[in-house]
Amino acid sequence: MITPAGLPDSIAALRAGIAGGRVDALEALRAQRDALAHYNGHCVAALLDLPATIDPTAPLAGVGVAHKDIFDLPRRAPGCGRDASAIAAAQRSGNTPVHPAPAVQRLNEAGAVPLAALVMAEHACGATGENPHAPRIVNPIDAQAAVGGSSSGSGAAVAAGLCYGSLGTDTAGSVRMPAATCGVLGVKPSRHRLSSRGVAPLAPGLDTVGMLGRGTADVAALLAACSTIRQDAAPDRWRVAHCWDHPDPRLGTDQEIGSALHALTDELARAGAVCSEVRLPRLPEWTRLADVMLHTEAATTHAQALAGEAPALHALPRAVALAGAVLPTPWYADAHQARAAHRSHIAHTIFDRADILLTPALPRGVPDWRHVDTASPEFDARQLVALFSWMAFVNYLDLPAAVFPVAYAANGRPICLQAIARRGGEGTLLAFAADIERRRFDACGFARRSLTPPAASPAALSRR
Amino acid sequence: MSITENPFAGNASLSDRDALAASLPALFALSGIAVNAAEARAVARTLQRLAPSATARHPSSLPDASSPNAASVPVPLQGTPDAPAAVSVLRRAIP
Repeated sequence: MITPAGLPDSIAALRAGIAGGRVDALEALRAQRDALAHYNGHCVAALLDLPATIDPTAPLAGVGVAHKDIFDLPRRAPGCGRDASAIAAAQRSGNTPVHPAPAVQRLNEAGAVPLAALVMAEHACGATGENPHAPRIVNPIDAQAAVGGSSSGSGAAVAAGLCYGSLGTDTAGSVRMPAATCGVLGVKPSRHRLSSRGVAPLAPGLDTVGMLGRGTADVAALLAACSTIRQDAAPDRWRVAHCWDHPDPRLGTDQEIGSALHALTDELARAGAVCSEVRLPRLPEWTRLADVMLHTEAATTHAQALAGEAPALHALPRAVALAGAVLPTPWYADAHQARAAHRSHIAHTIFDRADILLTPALPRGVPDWRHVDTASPEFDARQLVALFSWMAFVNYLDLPAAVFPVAYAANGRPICLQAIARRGGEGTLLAFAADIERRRFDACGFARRSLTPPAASPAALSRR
Repeated sequence: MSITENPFAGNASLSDRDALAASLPALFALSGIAVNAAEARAVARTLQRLAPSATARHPSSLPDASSPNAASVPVPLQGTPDAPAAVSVLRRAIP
């Protein structure tokens, strides 16, 4: 497939073109930036200047990336989804960063140039891309489908083929929900596998920097450039634990979604995997503990704004932080104190016997945007809750997780699963994602849509 | 930011949501935060949802997730049974 910039769809193919002299790396970056500039899907918060020159020998030279607008960039403080006046005031304050966030810097040093800062939910608070300060982001798969948040611009930009990868942050699913709704791969490592320095915080005990990309090889290459994460070799025989049913019956899995997930484990079993069904009776409790941490830490992060000593928060981040301001300290202390025991519990009960734990990502599929936008007259809280019902517990347990499509529903929207590994098992996750990508998508990325540029898009790329 | 001597820590006054919501503005004021009635009601719902449950026992007291008896473990439900109306407004904002 070809991206809207007229370039190969994968990093490997692009790099082969550059190495073979068919594509110029700097021209490739210009074409990618032009495509972002002309795209009308509303995922761009700010276009960035390209370097005058690049090192063509860098391993990722020519690879354009674009990150959530929550990372420090040279001379640009993160916008964090705020309104334009608040961002302008922050820039005028003189507290703009000199250096980019280390994760961004390491990618840059490998040749992966940031092309834009991408739209996000305000202060990373939102299960969708809803942001009162920005137009609704269009899902490249289906314009009526929701785009998950809070790294909403990242999901849309990657799915549209506008960049080869995107750094996002995930406090309670904010990398995984955009990936799941847009049909791409989203990887949330354990905390601190990617540096969180130079990243605006929400709840530091849960905040995790992650990566979105269209295929496993792309994500593995980008993660290798900015962290110590490396894809493992697949085992001879996968040991897979799966839990398709939420213990809260109100959060059940749709029949079409459940059938697709069961079909996958059946297929894996026929291929020799050892698949076992497990239950997660503590999932609601883990979610509650995650929420206690989230609200309390968000209140600390935004204490000045709550007290009127900093620019006011909009309704969604204010709601998150307000509750934390009056949560009893012992609740937070208990959540913090019990965390290690809960981690140990799942390590012994699940990961002593399995390489991977599988759960649904979106148990009711990708909803229409109008059903999960809180300002819409057709808003349905149940559909919004379903978006994140399998997310926050992973952050509480600080486990690495990946979300990616395994099939596509009758309505053309992705059916995604969540693969979870033991702490430090990011390499295992990548190996598993690569295995599924090979089985289901011929190792050509997880997307099932054409990236052919629209007629108005400047796809023409001068080639040697 | 949380108030150490929080009157809700003992979980005694959480059952009456209206009374809880009515008491919150004064508690917020201790931290210099002004809230309106709608915000107080939303925070009251969140406090009820996040209150430690009798079923939230220490991990060592629960059976293994993979054990055959796991299904019999009482599970604390999120929110209140009359969803969607009672699904906390705050849940809309969880990132």
